[in-house]
Amino acid sequence: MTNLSIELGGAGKAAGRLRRGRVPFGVALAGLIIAFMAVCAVAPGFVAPYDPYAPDLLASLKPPSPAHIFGTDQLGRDIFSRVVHGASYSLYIGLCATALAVAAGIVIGLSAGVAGGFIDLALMRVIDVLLAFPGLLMSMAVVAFLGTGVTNILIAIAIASIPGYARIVRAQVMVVRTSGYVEAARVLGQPPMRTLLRHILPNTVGPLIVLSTLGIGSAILQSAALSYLGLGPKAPTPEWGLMLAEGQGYLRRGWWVGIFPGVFATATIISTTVLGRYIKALTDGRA
Amino acid sequence: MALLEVRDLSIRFVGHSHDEDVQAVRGLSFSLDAGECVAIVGESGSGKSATARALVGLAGDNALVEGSVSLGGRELLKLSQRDWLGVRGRNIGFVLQDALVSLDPLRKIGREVAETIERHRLLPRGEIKGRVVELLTQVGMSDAESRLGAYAHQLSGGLRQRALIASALSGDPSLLIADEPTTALDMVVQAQILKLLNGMKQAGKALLLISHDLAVVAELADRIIVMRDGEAVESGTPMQIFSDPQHDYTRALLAAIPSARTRGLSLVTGSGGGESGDVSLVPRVPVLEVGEVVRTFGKRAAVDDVSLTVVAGETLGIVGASGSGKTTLARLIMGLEAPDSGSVTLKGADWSALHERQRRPLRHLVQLVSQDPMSAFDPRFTVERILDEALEARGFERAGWAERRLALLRSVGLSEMHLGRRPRQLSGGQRQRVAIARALAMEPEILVCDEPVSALDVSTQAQVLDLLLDLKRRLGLTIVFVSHDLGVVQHVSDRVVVMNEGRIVEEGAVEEVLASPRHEYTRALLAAQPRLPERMAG
Amino acid sequence: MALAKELITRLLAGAAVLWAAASLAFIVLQLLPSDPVQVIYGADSTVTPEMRDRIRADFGLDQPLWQQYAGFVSRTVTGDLGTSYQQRRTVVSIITSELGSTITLASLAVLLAFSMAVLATLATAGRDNWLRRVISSLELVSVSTPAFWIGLLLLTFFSFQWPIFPVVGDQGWKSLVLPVATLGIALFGTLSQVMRNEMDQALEQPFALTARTRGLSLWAVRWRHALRHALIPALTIAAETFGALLAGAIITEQVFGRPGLGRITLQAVRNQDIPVVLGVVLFSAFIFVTINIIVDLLYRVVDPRLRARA
Repeated sequence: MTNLSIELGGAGKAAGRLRRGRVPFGVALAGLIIAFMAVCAVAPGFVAPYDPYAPDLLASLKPPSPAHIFGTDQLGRDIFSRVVHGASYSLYIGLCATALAVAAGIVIGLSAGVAGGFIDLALMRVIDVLLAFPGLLMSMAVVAFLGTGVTNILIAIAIASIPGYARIVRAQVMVVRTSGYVEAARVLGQPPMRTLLRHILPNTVGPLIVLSTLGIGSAILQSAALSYLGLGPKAPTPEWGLMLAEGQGYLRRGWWVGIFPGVFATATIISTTVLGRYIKALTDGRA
Repeated sequence: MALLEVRDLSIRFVGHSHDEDVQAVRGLSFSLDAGECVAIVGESGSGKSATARALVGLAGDNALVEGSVSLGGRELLKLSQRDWLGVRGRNIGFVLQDALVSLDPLRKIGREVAETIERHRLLPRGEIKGRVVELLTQVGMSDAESRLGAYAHQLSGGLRQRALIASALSGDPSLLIADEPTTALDMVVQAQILKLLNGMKQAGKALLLISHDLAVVAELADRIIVMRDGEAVESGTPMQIFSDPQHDYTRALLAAIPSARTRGLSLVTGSGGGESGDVSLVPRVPVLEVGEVVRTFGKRAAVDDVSLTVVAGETLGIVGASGSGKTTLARLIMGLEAPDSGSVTLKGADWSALHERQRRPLRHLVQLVSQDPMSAFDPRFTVERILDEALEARGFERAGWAERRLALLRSVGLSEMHLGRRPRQLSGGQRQRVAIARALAMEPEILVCDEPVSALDVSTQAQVLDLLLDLKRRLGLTIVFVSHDLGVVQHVSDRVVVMNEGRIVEEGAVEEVLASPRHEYTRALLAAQPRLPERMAG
Repeated sequence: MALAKELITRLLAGAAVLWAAASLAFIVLQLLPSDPVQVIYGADSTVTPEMRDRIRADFGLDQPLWQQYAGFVSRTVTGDLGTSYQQRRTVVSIITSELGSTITLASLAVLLAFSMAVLATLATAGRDNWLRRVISSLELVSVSTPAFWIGLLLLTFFSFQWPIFPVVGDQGWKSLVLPVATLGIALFGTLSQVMRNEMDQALEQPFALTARTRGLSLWAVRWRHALRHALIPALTIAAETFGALLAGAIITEQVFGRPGLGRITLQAVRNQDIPVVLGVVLFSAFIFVTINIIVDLLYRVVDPRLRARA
């Protein structure tokens, strides 16, 4: 979304600072965080000490202690166990929504860019119209039609991100199509279909896949926001945004209720962004 | 004591670790007096620009500058950052190349020229405008008052460069440093700017000229310093340098400059390149005919009623300034651009009139070598895949590719160690060789070269030109050679076509056209060509 | 003359986008699986079929499709966005009554974010030092942290731990501080990244070197030359920033219980009050198109190179 169009141009400085053969500390840390989140998502029972759904009203709103390292929430559930279980929702929505949006974006952008003429004009006008709606508002509108729930916000986020990806793909197709090497292929007498598959497609899709790693963070951000607004999964699901929304009324009595789900969400989003930028800087340096 | 005394100047760019350090300049000494011009000449990486920047304290945060630079008896290298601000613009004026990007594109010319005066508070506010007009008039900008409100992009290259010089002069500095002041300019405009700089010298400014081009500085400099890899290899008056060069590098550099005199000679070795292949003895078979071709973009005719014939085995030079339509003409010949009217025929058959599908099987006949080979290669491809794509397009059996690849690389002076490299990992000269190898893989009859050497250093240019002429002789290629550089065209061509504003103004054998030009524009072009003083014998 | 022509083209293009947006909205309405009457009365079994038909007629749902479409588009053009299913008020009156509060919040937040971004850009562009690393880390945190969590953190610390600012409501400037900070911080990262990236590039251009050879300090080059270059991309993303603002307002208003456009949007989405949802969507599209037209004109003021191209 907003971030993507910026990232497309930027990162010049970052690439300049990269050194051969050594992974920067921040990137290594981000990798570790993502690895940890992945373990949480795939095998939460392995990491979480308690049942995330089991209430214990006698132990409600207890501050962090050795037994409950992140404290307990208003129903006495272990917050650490709940945030660990929450990872699967965010990663699932982030990955699937991005994959869906990228796939649709490639199909639309490539058709527009390659076909040109009227098809290009029509598709791009539609994209312009869709881009006129703010992303969150558009996903909210989709939720208004589809109803709430994990799958529906996944679809909503994907739909809201398609126009951005489609526009980037189409712009990249235009750049590649007029590039010297596509012209060189023409001079060699290569048929257009072969040029499309051999030069245009890889040089368009490659950068987009790299860019989409940055989109995952943005999709996770959106899913947390939609859940916070009560449009995602329903209680007692341990989704980070929902946990924060539920805990908001208890902030006066327990600050920890409002901290840890946010820490997990932010750490995940920052880490995907850092990794995405690193991958982009690496490929920029090579290509 | 001279106005500017540079003693034992060393510049070292400090990298992340010790082995990433770059010693840009080593032990450079020279002096420069008022009314005098010293030129530092060298190829890229010689340290000439780093030297210029160090003299104004702007070599960069990671540059370690040692030695001594004194201006009017004041040691500059010991100045604090604060004191430097008082020196720049006031005591030293600086002119960079390509004024389009060296002037702030978002500010008006008048404000850019006034900036030094405002910064150093040289005049009361009310008098600044008058002074700026005076300065612009002084550098030969007519109608200066009305141009104060213009932006850089609204002026021609020459006017921009004049404005930039006016801005450097505005603080009335005693020393003027000009770093490649004419590189982005056409030859005619270049001559005007050099004349202007000469006027500044006559008026008593000390002028330090930085250039990659020996010929450009020849008329202006009182002394020339030839730099290579951070060291001065030779210095002396232009007469000494040109007639009696002491160092091998200087000699090679001089020999590498293409001109009418170097025709038929190797630019690298200076010796004859074998049979010069006199075209007059070859039967004149036209292979390519351009007939009354017009191509317009918007309202402007880029190519306007152009007709020419290319004969088998000859090299036709197309020379003209930027915007003269020579590149569009090359693209029309390539069949990459369709003419609005007129026709291009290849070996007596339709070429421009063909549908792309019909043209495709014939495309191998005409191949292209462009100015910027970097963009002409898919960045993901290795040299091996680049060549394979051509071999595949030509329809060679896959079994023979490996052998052909090697043969092609050898014929352009590369070896199998380059097969695995990507374009990014090659030098500019190597890239151009790969581009030539790819074109040769198609077994073309005509090679269209569009400014193939204008992005290269003189010595690399010499190697590539030698290679092209050698291939032409060995393979009997017909070459259409497009360039803005008269010297290069004179060196390579049998016949020449001079273009101006989309039209051919003159055409004929190189010797005739250049010895007795009939058209005014050709005469202007020839007059603007920088001349070397008497060259070494032979 | 060229400017007038350009302006007319822009206006026409903008109108086309709005028309397309309205048509899209209409299609969406038609595709809606739920029956509006169902949404309005829920499962209330006392509603007779006759009453249902009357309601259908009230909302024009009994007309042929093309008439509904023509009516929808022509009403939209005249600024009539329909009537809420839930509130029995026109969508326009709902939007306008809530707009003021959101505009106050949004404009203060933009001001905050923009000032912070300019300061951050001026202080760090073209440098590679500890300050730059600190500020670019802050930007990364700003773009990666969910806005609602920023709000919750501010609430936790500045309302509960140290009760400086009120928790919820709309009571004078004090209740504006935390919402504005939340939205401003969320916006800051993107703006700052974009502007600094451009200023970095501007400072590497030869004209920056030329300016320094005139005796300008590094600060003066940033302030007098490069800042203007950095404003161009800030303009480019102005419309996207508006989208981020609206999205941010929805969240901020929810966190701090403030009235505003965001709150009614969320309400409408939750209640499937489609006319209000579409009204807000069309309204935001209208603002987006308007901003883009203004931005296109402003470009010419900031960047003289574009004036030549017309």
